[in-house]
Amino acid sequence: MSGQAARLAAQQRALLALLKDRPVPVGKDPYLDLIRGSRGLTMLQMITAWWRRFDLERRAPLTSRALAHEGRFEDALTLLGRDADTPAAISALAMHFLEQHIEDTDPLIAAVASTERALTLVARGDRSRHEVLWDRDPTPVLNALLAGHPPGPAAPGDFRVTVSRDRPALIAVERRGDLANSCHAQERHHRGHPACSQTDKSV
Amino acid sequence: MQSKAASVGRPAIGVTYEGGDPALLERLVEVADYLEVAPDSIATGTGGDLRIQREILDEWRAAAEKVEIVAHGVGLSIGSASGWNEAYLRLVDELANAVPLRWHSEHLGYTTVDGEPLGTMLSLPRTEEALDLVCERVIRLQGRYPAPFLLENIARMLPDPDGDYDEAGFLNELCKRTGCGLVLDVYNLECDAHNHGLDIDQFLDALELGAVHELHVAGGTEVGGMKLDVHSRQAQPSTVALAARAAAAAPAVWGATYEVLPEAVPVLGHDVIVNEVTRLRTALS
Repeated sequence: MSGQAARLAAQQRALLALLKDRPVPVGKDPYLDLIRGSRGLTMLQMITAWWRRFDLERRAPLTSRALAHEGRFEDALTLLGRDADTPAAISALAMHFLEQHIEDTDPLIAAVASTERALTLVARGDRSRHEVLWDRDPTPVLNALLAGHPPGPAAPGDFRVTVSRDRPALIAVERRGDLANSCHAQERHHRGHPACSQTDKSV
Repeated sequence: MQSKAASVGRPAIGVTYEGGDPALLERLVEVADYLEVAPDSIATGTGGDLRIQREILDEWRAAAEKVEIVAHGVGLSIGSASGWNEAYLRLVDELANAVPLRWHSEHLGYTTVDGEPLGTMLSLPRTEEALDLVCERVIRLQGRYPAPFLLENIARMLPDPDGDYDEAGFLNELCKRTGCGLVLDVYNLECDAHNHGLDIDQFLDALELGAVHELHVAGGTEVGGMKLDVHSRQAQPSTVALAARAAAAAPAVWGATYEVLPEAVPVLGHDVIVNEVTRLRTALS
């Protein structure tokens, strides 16, 4: 990199640091002092937070709502904003967010994120069959989240959610180890989720 | 394909369309000459393994039977000193192989630093080093794609650092060195005028208008005393009037695009978006 390009690179790194509230990796620079106190920087930080929120609420509504109901969505947004590994493509942010939560310590959040990730992948053309294990009945939880309500109590038990293109409604729920129920696996079409919008069918 | 507007010697009229809304698409192809699509807003995958969603690509391909398609990216990051976003270019490759592109364009700014997203887009300093960097990349793009390449003026949110050029001078030199064209976003000019005191008359007088091949028209909002480039609303009369003025002064404007965020479509509604396209056509006729 030439000396001139190195100056440009240093300025860009400093602006990234300012935007993300990190220590600025350069020495004294009057321009950076000007930026640090500017209305524009505050506004940019606000706008980037809005974008993340809008994008996640739109592309990952179930997990966003589940986290919000647990009082964790704001922290998740903040962490995502500081995460240096967020994808460069705006359309990939929601998938990155879902992948961050599929191993969440809260089993409900992990199950919701895993299910939503599978729905999103399948709706985008993925031909794989995805299975997500739940420790409670997923149907009332997912329906409540779709309606914007708190998940509420759900019957405990071992449930399996299957997400696949060969399911008429993309998604099916069955109780594991329960032959009677598994023979009558409940097909659920979670209308209202963006992943289902391209295959809207009644069940 | 002969555009609806080209037949009467006026700029073609375009509108943003992300995909996945067939009811909106059906109406847009009736009133618009081209669709502005953003390959990276509907990509799927992660990291360098991004692909355009197959269903959306099929939809755009079908739409191309009725209207022209223009690619307008967000994520190339042509101004990143640490390197542009090669994954974005693979999306453009994929799009260009599927659909004939009338032209493609990007923003004159950067969205990543060392591969890390800023979460927004920042403008470049108007310096020789920034100009050298962008010119070299524009020339590479021109060699990679047969469709003409245009760069758009973005709204500046941060104060300017010292530079070697003024606003128009930087764009003039960029076009002169590379032969690339410009997207003139007139709403962004209004943002810069409001937020930083840009003199739009002086800017337009100094700009080599022959390089302006597309106009962008949008409506945003004002927060904390700053006008924001968010494409969430109908265009203000002043914005449409400025577009008409620029179209009259610039000798080779191919198209004028009403830009709207996909997130704003449910709020605005299809009727409003269709009316905005029609309104723009009327204003530029």
